[in-house]
Amino acid sequence: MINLSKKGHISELVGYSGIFLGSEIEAQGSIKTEEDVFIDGEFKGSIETVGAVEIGKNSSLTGSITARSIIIEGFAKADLLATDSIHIAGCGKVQGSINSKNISIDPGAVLKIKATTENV
Amino acid sequence: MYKYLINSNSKTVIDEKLNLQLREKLQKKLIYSEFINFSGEKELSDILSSLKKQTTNTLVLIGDDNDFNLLIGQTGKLDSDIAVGYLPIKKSSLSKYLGLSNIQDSINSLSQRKITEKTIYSLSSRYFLDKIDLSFDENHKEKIIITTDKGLEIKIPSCVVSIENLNDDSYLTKTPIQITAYKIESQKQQSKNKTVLAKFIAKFNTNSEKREGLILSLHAKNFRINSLSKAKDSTGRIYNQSILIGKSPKTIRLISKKADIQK
Repeated sequence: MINLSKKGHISELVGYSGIFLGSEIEAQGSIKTEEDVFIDGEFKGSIETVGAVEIGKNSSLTGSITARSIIIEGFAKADLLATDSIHIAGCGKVQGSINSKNISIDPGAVLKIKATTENV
Repeated sequence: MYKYLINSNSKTVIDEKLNLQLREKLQKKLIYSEFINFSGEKELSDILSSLKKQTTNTLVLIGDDNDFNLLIGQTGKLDSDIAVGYLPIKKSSLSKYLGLSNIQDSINSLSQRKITEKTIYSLSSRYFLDKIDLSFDENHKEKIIITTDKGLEIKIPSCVVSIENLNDDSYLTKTPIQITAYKIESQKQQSKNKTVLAKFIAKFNTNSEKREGLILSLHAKNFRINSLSKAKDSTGRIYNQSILIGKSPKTIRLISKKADIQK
């Protein structure tokens, strides 16, 4: 199992063209991109990327995420699907479903989820 | 024939000595004609409209990036076969963009008349080539609403919104407009921290302005910005409360160091 937190954060890795929605942002709709996405605000909708998604500590997300890898540090009421891995940090709160070959959860995370590690 | 435009109200003053030096250098290259002064956007617009009837094939702005952006903003008035040149008086992001390292270098490029065709973008009825910064009233409590062509709606607090044309980056041809928003902080609040987010923000602080507090970064094909407060760009132009940003049907023929098309 891979612990994404050891790899650092997307905010370190994301390039010039990455998508960043800061903590004072409220957004709704769909994001479909090939870049990494970092969200630290309030987001309602779907995120679809071949890159990585990080939901920051200040964030509140409602909807769905499909990505290569997902890190949740804030609140997500969502269906999460990652081809590589999903990591839920100790400060993360997740309601919904998570689906990935590799799932890691830090102590302290609050979960109400249906988890699957197959068919990704 | 070359025509040279100088903004008489520019922040970058071209004194008599420099004016004379420029004339001499241009004469040496056999590309000197007249210097035309304009005092603002309206007068520039009138000059460009009148040029259509004349035999000008090359229009050169002498001044700084703000002056050049005034010209780019009015390129809708230009015949499409007129080439646009820039003689920057000081180093700038635009001079770098065009590969012009100093005045002599710029004059050499002008005389060689190497032309590159660039896509320009429109911001309401104005055009821009590489970047425009819009300042919104920070004291305004109502949020700015940014909507992308894909229906993503984003609400942000009043700030500086920077709109950049990334059309040259082939990776982003489908979504060539980069939009970034920053809060302007006082110099005292300029933190020296080395947090992850600070490093991220540093990537976007490519100019010397005192900016901190990146709050948004994304790219799209088209944007609309709605705000109850008006916005102002670096040339002082005021924009109304609904601003549409998108690709212009026009391209511009720019003289640069590196050409991609023949004269």
